[in-house]
Amino acid sequence: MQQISDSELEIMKIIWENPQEVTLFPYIMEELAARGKPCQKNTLIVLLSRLMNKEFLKAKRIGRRNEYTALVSETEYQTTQTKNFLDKVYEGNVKELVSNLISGDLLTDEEYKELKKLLEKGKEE
Amino acid sequence: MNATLKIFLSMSFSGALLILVLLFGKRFLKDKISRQWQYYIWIIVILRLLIPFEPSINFMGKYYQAIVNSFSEQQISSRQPENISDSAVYFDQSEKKTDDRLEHSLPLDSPIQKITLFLIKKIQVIWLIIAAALLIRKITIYQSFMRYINAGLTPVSDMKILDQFFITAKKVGIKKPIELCVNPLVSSPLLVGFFHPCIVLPSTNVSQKDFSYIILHELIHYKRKDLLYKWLTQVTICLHWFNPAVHFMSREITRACEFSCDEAVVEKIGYVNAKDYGETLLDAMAAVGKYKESFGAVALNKNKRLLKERLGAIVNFKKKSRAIRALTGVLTLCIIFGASFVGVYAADITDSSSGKLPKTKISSSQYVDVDFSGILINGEGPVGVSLVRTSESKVRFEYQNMDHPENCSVNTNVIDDIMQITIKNTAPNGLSVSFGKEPKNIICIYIPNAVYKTFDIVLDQIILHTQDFNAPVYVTSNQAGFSLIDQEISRGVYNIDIISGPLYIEADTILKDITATVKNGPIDLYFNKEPKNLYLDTTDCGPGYVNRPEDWSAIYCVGNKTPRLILSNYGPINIEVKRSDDKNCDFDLNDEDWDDDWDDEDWDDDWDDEDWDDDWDDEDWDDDWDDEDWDDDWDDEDWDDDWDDEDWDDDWDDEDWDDDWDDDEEDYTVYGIICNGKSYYYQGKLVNVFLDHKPDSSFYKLGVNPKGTISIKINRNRDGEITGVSYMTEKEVKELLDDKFW
Repeated sequence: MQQISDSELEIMKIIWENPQEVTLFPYIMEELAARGKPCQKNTLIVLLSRLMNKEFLKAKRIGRRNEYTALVSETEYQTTQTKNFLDKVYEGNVKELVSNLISGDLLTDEEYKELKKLLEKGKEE
Repeated sequence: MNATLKIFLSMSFSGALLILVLLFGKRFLKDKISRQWQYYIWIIVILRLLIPFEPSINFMGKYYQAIVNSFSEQQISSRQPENISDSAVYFDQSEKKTDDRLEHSLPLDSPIQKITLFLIKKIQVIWLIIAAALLIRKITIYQSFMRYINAGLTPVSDMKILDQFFITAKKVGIKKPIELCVNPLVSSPLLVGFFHPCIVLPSTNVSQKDFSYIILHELIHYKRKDLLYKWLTQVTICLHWFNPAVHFMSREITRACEFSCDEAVVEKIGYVNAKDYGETLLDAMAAVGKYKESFGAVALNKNKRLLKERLGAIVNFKKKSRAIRALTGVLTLCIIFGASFVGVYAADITDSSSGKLPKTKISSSQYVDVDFSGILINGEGPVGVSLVRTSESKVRFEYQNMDHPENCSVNTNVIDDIMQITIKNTAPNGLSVSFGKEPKNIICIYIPNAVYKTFDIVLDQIILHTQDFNAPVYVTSNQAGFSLIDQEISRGVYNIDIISGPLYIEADTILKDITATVKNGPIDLYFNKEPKNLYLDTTDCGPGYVNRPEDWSAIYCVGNKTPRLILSNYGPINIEVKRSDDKNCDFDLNDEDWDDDWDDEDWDDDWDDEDWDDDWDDEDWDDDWDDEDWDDDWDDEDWDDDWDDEDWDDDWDDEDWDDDWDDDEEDYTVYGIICNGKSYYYQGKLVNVFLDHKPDSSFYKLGVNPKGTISIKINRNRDGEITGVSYMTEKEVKELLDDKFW
């Protein structure tokens, strides 16, 4: 999986969060504007085409409009990104990451409990 | 030389003329007229260099044609009426000169001429190879440059920058999305990519104003399709690599490209901001020369000197006044006019206009130097070409029974005193060529009987049939036959080179040298009289059937060992000599009227006398012909009248005579029958009775020569097509002759 830029991630998020199966161009434009990041049509076209080149998206041309579908799910992306992060920062050591999360007060109590549950459930299985 | 190459050379030449005119004009008008005009005007030159449009098809056509015609260039229309006599096209030699010194045909120094000829033949290939190599080199350089650019390429992901970029693009009028990338390896902003255009910046870390100027400059390059223009120029250079003017042009276009782009930018941002833009240019020049980006991409800067000039120009940009704009309009028209007027054959006009020659009457009995001193024929078939000597003073063309005259084009042109004839005929499904009484698919060219310096004939798939011409004749023929048939081969010296096809030479007497090489094909050599003087070398002939007169060896010498006939081939060779006492031309001499004339002057003896032959061979004799007093001698004896007499001319020039001669020869040659005058030869023997008639009696031909030894008849099927030849029995002959004469 290739790396994508922040603006590209922004677009991917819009597509991931879209409840519809396919996303249309005007929808992305509107969403971007709604998020306070309005952009030029061509800017979006260029960004979308970069995403297609990186195989994050595919487009199906129907008449004069493109229907965009994500090829990479949000979870897949997150997993890959986390792995990359782990490798880069913790050299693959998960324990260090988690201890850093706890000691660095990055987890709320609720999150901590949920995580614990998740861990125990994973053990049982 | 190949016709394509010649057209190309003239294109190159007229292009060079235009380039020189433009470069010269630029010196005076550089700052006065629009830079963009100075840039785009080169398109006309490039089109001139790349497209071989002939002025006859553009709007200038008629005038051009009229002018050209007066300089004796003629294009023969391919649309010919059905009727042969109507289809004859005259090539009028409006200006004639009669040279008082009657020239001898020039001796040829063969090795040098041969090498030159070889190089000329190959020059088209050499040219193409170099052009292709240059183009490939340019493409590989471009590819490696693109790899270099792509290596460190990062797309600009900042939406704000992208937005600003596309807003600027919209202002310039570009709707298409263009990639915007950053590559710290490039020293200056540039535009790359034909199909997926991409503007590459060294960095986006520049001020807002600089950024907008820089992208504006590159976007304008994109808008104007400068990359396409650049590549078109590069292709032109590759094709015209030999033309230094084209290289100058390329340099000038590169310069003009930047200047005009600057001008367009300044027009967009307003003339008051010109200075700001100039400063941006200077900043962008921070690092230059990491890689040779100048090629294949439209870079913002080239080098410092150019930059200095550009800065100067930018500050001086002014809106052009209406008068200047009107002037540029007129100038454009002039150049377009000029480009079409210095057409494909620009060189010819200047050449032929230089020599003005007085018109003189030509009498048939003398050699005339027509105002072209040589002939060059280039042909591509399939088609038949027949070269016929004529006492007319014009070169005349005649299409004889062409299947598709519209497929045929014959062009003539006089360049450097050489009349160039280009023949091209296309017949995708092949065609049958016949030189007979019903000639088929023949282009007949009547050429004045004169002394020529050169006679170069280069043919591909053209069956050539020629008479003897006074010139060093070079024939190169590919995939077709060549026949040289005349009573005497006493005028020209022949160098024949056949790649594949038969060679057929027939004459009563051969007095001049013939060198012939047939790479693949048979040679037939017929002497209709026992040669008195000859050196014949056939050592390089064969393999296969070799037939020579019994007492002849591979090298046969007799008399003073001239002329030299050197023949070589790969294939069968057949040499035959008619060994009868009769002279083949005696059907004329036996004529009573003729005899009287000859008797009066005690000439009869000479003609019948065996020494007569010697006279013809004698070198002194040649001198007589060249002698100026010669004419006087004839006049003294009131002979001139006879020679000039129209009747006499008719005999020789009469079409019937030619037809008879041509017809039998070609129709029957296939079956091994050779016709000369009114005598027929079959398998080397003179024919006594010759019979050819169609079963439906639509055609009947009987020839009787009392001196012949064999009798033959032509067999034809019901459709009248020849199926074969057979000997006639004595009974048949007797029946036939009884029937006819008694």
